[in-house]
Amino acid sequence: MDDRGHSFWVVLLTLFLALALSVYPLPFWARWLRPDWAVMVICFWVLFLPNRVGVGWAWLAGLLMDLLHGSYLGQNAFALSIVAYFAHVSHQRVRMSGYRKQAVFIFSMVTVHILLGQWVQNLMGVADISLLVVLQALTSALSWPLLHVAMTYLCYRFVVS
Amino acid sequence: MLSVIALLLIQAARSQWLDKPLSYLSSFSLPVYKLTELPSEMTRSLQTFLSSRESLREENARLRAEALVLHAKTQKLASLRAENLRLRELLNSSSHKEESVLVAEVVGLAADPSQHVFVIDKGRADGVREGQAVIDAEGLIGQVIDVAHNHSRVMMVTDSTHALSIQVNRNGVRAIVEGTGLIDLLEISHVAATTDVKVGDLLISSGLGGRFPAGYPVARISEVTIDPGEPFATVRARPLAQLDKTQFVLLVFSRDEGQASDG
Repeated sequence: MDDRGHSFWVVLLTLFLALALSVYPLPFWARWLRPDWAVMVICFWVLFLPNRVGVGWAWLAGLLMDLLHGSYLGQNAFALSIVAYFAHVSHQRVRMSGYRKQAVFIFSMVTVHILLGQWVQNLMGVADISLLVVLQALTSALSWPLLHVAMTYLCYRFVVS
Repeated sequence: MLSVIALLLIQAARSQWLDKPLSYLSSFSLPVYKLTELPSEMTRSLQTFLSSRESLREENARLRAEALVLHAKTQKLASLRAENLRLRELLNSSSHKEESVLVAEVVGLAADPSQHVFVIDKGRADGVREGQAVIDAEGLIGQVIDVAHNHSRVMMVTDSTHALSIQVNRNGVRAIVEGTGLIDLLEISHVAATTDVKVGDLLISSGLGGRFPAGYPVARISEVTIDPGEPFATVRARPLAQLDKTQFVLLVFSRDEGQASDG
């Protein structure tokens, strides 16, 4: 019971941090390099706590993200719940693989997130696609080991299971 | 299932009925933006704290001189304005609209790197409305595109989906200036190769279209390329406003000169 309370708050806090980092002010050019923290954190929790965190959490986080970013309501909720679904389906395989394979997985998940977001924007008539968004997926994949270590530490520290 | 709900939400957001509750719901984002500003704010206040008395005195003197110059420049403004009004009345043309401004702080940049949008800390509660012009000390920055209860979003003129009607200050030639998605580049579209535009020309907002008040400086032409094979000249300009550096911006409220109480 106690554990459960802990894990709830830790998940909530990390998701909030990810959202805050997603709007952390960066210089103009550096915005293309910002890792997609929300996707990474959600993937981490879905991969390592699949019975606690699932599509519902991702959906809620996405909705908050939409409100925060001022994007179309539901855009990120939709994209993130798809991402969480993919992560949930493959969590047994991805969890077993090393950092390199996990980074490739994160790369593809961030790409899915970005492409779905752009698809929605295209539906709404705002079309501005730049291939530079691949950079975001790349920096996310590169910073995955870092996030993984930090989150694993958090899990041990606060006995999240 | 949840993604279907999300898609339905997207559809619902397209209609307007969710706007009001959403503007209150998204109020939580202002504190989040402020939170992300904290580190830079702290370094800034630390710098002021540590800056020497000497440099502060220097800055004070510089600001004093600047204020003196600005005061001198505004001395004749009142009489000029009255004269302008009289002349306009003589010509039977409508009077210029009087404008007042509200200072807003930039609290965040859009997360999507392809958008040139920033967030300011004034919203519907402060009287901000969609389409309002935003300027800084140097020139036009952009317009408000989205108003929530306590914050709003401003699209800069350099956003690739932004366009506005301008006038060349030197000769009154009108054109449309479009954003390119690059922070220091604007493009002027459909300028005939024979049009009189030169590098260094000042572009001001023309007021056509009704969005932007007329007469605010927007950009300076930086490049004119005339290719005989092309029907139009390629004209590029550099925005005057400090788009990527401003911390404070001004929201422009326009009202009729007749109702204005003072300057």
